[in-house]
Amino acid sequence: MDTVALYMQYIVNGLTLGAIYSLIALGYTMVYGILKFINFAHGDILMVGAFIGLLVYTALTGEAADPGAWTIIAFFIAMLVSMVACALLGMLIERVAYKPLRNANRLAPLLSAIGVSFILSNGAAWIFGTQSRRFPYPFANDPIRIGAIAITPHQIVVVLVSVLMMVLLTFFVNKTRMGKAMRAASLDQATSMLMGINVNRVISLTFAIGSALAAVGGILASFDFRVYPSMGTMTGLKAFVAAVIGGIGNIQGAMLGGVLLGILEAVGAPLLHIPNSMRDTVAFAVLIIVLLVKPDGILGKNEREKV
Amino acid sequence: MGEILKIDDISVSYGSIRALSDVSMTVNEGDIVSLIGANGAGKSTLLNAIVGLVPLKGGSISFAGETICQTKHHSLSTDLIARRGIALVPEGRHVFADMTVEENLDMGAFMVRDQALIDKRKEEMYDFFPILGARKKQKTRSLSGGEQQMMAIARALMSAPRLLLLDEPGLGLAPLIVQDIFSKIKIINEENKVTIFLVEQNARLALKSSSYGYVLENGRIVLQDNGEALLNNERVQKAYLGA
Repeated sequence: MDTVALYMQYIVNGLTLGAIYSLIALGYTMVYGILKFINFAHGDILMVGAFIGLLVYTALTGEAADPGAWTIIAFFIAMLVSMVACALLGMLIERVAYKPLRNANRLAPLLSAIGVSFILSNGAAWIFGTQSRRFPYPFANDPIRIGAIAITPHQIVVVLVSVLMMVLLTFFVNKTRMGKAMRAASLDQATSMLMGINVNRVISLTFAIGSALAAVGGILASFDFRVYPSMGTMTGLKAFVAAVIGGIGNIQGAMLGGVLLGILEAVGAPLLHIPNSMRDTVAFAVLIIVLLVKPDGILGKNEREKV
Repeated sequence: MGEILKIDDISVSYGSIRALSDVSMTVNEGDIVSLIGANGAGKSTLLNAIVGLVPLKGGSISFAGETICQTKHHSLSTDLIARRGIALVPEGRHVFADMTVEENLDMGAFMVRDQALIDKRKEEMYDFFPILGARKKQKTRSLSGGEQQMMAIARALMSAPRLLLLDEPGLGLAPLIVQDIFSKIKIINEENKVTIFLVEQNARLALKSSSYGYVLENGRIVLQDNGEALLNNERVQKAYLGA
């Protein structure tokens, strides 16, 4: 395989990884947009999403089902159930662990989030054990060859589902009444209340949507990474990096940052001869560079704290 | 017509600093009432108290016969007060800068569920403030100060409020634009039958437009009378009209 084709392959792989980062980054960025707070439990929600997805999928198809029409339908049913469950979980977490601290010191909700993160990952370890599980492919996964590049059906599903979610979210935020209210609340909370917007409800909805997207991201990620209780830590952290790179608080920024980070990671590691065990350093090196060069992120606005 | 807003002996503190002390006032339906006072007298605090953005230390506020604000746990939240029919155009306008003019108006109509009615009101606003019609697809941050003020007023009118609160609508604007805005305010009051309570540093303009006025000094009401009488009041002339 010549070098060009090899790097094309890395870009394809990076795009797949990046689409997943984008989905998860959206949750960080939407919550930050409204509450100016980083929900460090977000990564663990993707883990819960992956577990629920896997459980529902295996319940519907049995342990070793051959891929076919039913497994594909079951896969999407599992994804929907997981999205709904995670949306409810996200709302519950906000109500119990963050809302009471809304007027507290800024560090308090952050610490509460870290606590929730531990509760979720340890809870999952307690219920499911710490061994990792494979998420079986619901479809035949023979790579499709285009020249020297191989694209697997799972990569296509990851990209298609992610793009669909992002299109739906963009439509919601720009065209619907509640979506616009969400943007208004992230721009100016007091003024949106003057418009009759129930900001508590908007915040709840933000957590619901972000968590549902994380569930999708978790399920898509589990094809590559398997399912285990601490799977959300590194993926969540990298998605957070993606959100910061794109400009935290900015929805398009999270989408862009995720894809960019995925590609940089997939291309950067082989390009710089970084051993696989050190692969994760690429994301954080990129983060440091972005923070030094453009601290507000690529699409972030140069907006100082409002008085 | 009867009283629509009744402020009864309210006090507001920020920490240990008292911003309003024992303030009582009444706004009658259909009137334009103004509140004048110097910087820091507590004018904005009073408006923010009416919409529930700052908690009361004592006293109560009622709107159309219903108590909307009292001490902490007996007050309606700001969004519910808005739903009762009070709209505030806040000081500094607070437009949603990253949203277009049209989206800002949509937000003003958040409580209206009838899309045909929303569209009709938007058209009315574009007629009333033609510059907004010309700019409806532009981000609000690209508007000038005067245009943003009109946008903020139009946004408040989208919910067809019974009571419109205006916080320094002329602040930082050129005199001609201020004149224009005040003439619009008069039209809103006379033709749309919206009761108006406005806070203004430009005392002459405010009192000229108002049927009744209050003077706030250091968090207390020190004078009240009809607009004409206040304009001729020696103390008002000395302190606020530069006579």
